[in-house]
Amino acid sequence: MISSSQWREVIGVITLTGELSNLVARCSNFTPGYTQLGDRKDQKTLEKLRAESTRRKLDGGEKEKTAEYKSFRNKKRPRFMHITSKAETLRLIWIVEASVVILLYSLFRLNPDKCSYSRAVVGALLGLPAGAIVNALGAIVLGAPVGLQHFRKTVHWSLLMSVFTLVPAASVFGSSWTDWHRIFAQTKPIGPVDYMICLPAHGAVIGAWFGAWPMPLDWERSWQDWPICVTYGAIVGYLAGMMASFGFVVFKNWRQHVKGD
Amino acid sequence: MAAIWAFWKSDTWGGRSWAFMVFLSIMVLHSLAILLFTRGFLLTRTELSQYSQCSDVFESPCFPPYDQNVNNSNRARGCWTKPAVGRLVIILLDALRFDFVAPSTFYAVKKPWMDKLQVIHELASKHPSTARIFKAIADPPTTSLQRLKGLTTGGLPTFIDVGNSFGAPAIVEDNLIHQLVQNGKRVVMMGDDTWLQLFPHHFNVSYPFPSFNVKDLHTVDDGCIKNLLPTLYKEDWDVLIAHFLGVDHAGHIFGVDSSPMIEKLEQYNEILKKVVEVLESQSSPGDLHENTMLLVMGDHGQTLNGDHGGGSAEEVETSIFALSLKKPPTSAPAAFDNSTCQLDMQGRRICFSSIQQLDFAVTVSALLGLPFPFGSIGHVNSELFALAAGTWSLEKLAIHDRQSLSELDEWMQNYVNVLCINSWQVKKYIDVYSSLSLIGFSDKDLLHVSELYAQAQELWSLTSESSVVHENESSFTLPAVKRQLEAYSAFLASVASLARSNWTEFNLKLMGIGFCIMLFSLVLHAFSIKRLDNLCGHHSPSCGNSRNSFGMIFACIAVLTRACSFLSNSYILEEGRVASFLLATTAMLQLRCAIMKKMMLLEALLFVFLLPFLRISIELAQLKQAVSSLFLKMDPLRTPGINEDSQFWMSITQFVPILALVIVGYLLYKSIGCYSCHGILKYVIVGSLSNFMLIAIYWACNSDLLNLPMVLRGLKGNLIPRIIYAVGVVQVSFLSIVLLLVRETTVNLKESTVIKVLAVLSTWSSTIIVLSGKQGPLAVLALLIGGWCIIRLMRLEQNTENKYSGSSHFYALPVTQWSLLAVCMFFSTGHWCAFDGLRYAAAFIGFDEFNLIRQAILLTIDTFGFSHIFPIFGLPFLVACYYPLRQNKRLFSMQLCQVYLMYGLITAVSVTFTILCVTIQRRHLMVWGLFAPKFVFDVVGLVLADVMICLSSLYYIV
Repeated sequence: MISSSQWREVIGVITLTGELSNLVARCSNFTPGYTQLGDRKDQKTLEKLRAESTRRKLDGGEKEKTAEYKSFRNKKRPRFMHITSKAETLRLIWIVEASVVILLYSLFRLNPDKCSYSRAVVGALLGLPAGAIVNALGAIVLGAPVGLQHFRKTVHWSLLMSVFTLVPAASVFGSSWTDWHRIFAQTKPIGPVDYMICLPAHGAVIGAWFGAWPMPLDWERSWQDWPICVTYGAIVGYLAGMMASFGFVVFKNWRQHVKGD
Repeated sequence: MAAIWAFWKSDTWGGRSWAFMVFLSIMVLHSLAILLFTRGFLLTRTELSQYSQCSDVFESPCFPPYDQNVNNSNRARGCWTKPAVGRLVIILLDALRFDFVAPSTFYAVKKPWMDKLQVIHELASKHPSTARIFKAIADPPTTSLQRLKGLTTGGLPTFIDVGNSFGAPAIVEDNLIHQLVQNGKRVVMMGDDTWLQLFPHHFNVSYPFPSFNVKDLHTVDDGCIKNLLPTLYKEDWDVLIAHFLGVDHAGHIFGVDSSPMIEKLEQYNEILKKVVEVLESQSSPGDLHENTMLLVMGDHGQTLNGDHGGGSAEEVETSIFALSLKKPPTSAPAAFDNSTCQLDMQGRRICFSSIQQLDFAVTVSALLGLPFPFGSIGHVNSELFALAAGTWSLEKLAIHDRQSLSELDEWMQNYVNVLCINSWQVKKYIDVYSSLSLIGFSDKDLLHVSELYAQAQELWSLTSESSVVHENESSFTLPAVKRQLEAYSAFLASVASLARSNWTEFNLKLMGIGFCIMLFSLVLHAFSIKRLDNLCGHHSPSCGNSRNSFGMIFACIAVLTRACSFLSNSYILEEGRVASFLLATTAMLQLRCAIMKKMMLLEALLFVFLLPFLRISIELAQLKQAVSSLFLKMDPLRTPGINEDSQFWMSITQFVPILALVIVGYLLYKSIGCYSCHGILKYVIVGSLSNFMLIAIYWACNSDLLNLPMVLRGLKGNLIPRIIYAVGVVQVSFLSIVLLLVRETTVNLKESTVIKVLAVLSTWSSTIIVLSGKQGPLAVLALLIGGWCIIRLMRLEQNTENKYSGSSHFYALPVTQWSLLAVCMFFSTGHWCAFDGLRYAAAFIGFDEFNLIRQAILLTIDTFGFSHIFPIFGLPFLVACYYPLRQNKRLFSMQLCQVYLMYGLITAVSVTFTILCVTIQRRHLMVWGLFAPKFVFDVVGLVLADVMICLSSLYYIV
């Protein structure tokens, strides 16, 4: 059913996405360090100090912390997942990712005879803001902060989510409603391309959903701010979806091979 | 229990009485579990009934203030210490924030309420050695009753006393007032009548005034003022206590940053000025107030919203201002001066020091020469004690007459002796306590404390021996004395920290039993649901198939996620948003499902877009919480930039609620028309409609926008709310008449149920709306839309063959959504799980005077109206709206019972996890500030829900 050249391209998509994750990591000053993750003692000290600072605030001003607390907070330590400018980083990621995704997925457009490559690319470009709106609305319904100071972050985040979820479908299916319905509402992927669209998109959404969980915790880490941990969740989910879809495709192919034999 | 067993055994559905018995037994189980757990968890400190006696001091290793053999009938000699102060005037200003007293220069920004008590600044700067401002740090819970108890006993009152705050029981422990009376001091009290409840037989003269009417800013204060100044001229008292409540009430009603608050502070400034004038005019030797001390103090602080009860810095920081009238005193020993000084706005140098409120009782006892209260764990505060230092330096010590000592040395020696007595008393208390109480302190801690005490005592015996040997010369060298002081202070500090960290005595056995009963009730609950499922199976063969199990699974996930989130304090703070997150997730899944099935799209979209509004109102409610409250993660930019004072917004806020009310009323009116409503129920609903009109008139009258004619002005008062309550009571009695007298003869079960539900809901709605104020109708509207969407979206889950599936699988998701919506409503109507989250003002709508039962009922209705009363009484809608036209009374009742069982189970699961969390986190720093209030709210909510489920089962199930 699937030609070997198509296969090569599918694998290409996957390796590219792998590269992408590296890029994402580099963009976001991803300096792996394990001091903070396992350090529960630090966490406890911090908690104690924080409570003490509320108890013994000298001047009653709400931002006043005791000196001990301040020095603890400001102690130099390797920052894990610390991002200075969130909106810019997100913009960089989505632009790179979008160009890769649109150009690659447009190759697999549903009926190449009727729809030219450039048309698929245009369709995907149109799908990008539309998907962003859907994602942003979804995020706001679920509890994303609304407000002008969050506006840019939300815009870039939703564009990225759009690239992960709806843009591939837009470039492959164009405006074929039945296919959209099949993939996103019924989750019934058929071919390998369907898998490559469906699973990563669902993975990204589920990952983002789980990514929102640490946000209310009072660890006072910078990555707990609004779009960061959700983005990490989405990226992890997306990659997992990619792997899963790859696995599915390989597995199905193998079974067909066995049957054929 | 028996009923459940019978129910369990029998294969048939027993009808209403069976259902009622099941719900009743579940309620009994829950109450039992909660009772046992609460007894283990909240009642913690053993109150000892021992009292300190005057003669006890001879058992101590320290120097008594007088010789045992000398005739001690002369009271002036004192008992445990030499009295430094003859008379004491305590002016207690309720909820006195520290920044009311401290000069504004201590703060980064000068706020309007600062620098109002100028007289204190003036005195503190003019006489730095006799007048001093203290920052007093209270221990939570910062409610007045607890603080009064703490101030007088010198102990740490525990959480359960919060519950007693309304009933104010007399203090049975040894306390300052008891010691005063025992030692012949005459005490005069005026102001807050809580004192009389705490000390019913102690005062010589008392002028109590009712304290519970929060709206009343002046009665207590005016009463105090009227009696205070004349009393100051009288001779027939030794200790005067005047408790002013105005600041507390002004805070509760208007907040700190308000003109009534500033007026109150200015009024207090005037009063204090007069009091000081009177005292100073009579302070020359031989006069009445020759040796008087004035203490102006707060019992706790308050947040900017006027709330208190928790442990945030604003709430625990209060102030004590002390002024000793005896002159000339020695200068306070510089060695102990830990004060912070700053110039104030007029360039005067003002200092303040810190004191723990725990230390108050023992310090005052030491100043007056009384035995220290038996249960006190405080530490005689050096700076407060030093203010009256001059008063004994003029006399000569009776037995240790050492002329050569400088005044400072003598003071030090005296202070060391006082601390010696203090440490001995605390050690004695700790020992007695550990031997008497069931679970005392841990051995390790006790050993540590004993070691510290032994060290201090060893040092003491060395110095005192040497002083006996060299009787004629100054043997108390300053370094030795200092070492001694440090040793005692270390001991006392370690005892205080041990008591603070370790005081709460959990009875783990009771807690465990309570928790196990709770778990058992959950199992029983689940089995009942399963059982009912099987019973249904007889009637409708298409029980839960695989298609519906997705809803079931997701419902379980949502309930368990929410329940597990209680294990972390951060999630408890954000409980409302967690619930809205989960609800939004279910809504999105349903939207997806709706797209898949291409039906109910509109309802799904409406539901999805209702949720952001709920969430935003939850966030706004969070903003209303105190500025430095635990519950607030202040994000100043999060607030919308709306100028709330503009005319446009004013009129919008006046107009929108009334509009919403009209819409609600119209919907109700239409629903009577839709269903052929007749008989009593119709009149009940019409009664609520007229109530709605009354509410609209009431709000219109109270708004300032409309210039109403004089005729309507009369309606501004309490008349309308009272009418509404009365109509509500009449409606409820009508409904019970319907229940008792009118037997069901209707042909259409569905319609009659819908009308019954409507009648009950409309009965409650008018009262709840009036209590919750302007947000009421909007919340009702949101609840209506949400409920309608949930009901409509149930169709998505229905089998495509349109066969009626009646299993628990079918109802799992809608019931979960229903309960999540209820939780969201609780938070979005401006409540949160803390005692400052109660809307006390709601209890006084329609009433000016306080009546415990009446106000408690109103407060309960306001707190649980949207989260319990509406959702639970409205639950039959879920069943009735999808009941097929085919008449089957049995099946219908079983469905109803099923739905109620599931709702009860969901509530019980989350409460069980709260209990588990409280058990796990019982040593957490925030256990009293956060987990315990959450526990109390949940537990009360569960019991209420159980009661209401019982009532509904009686009422609805036929």
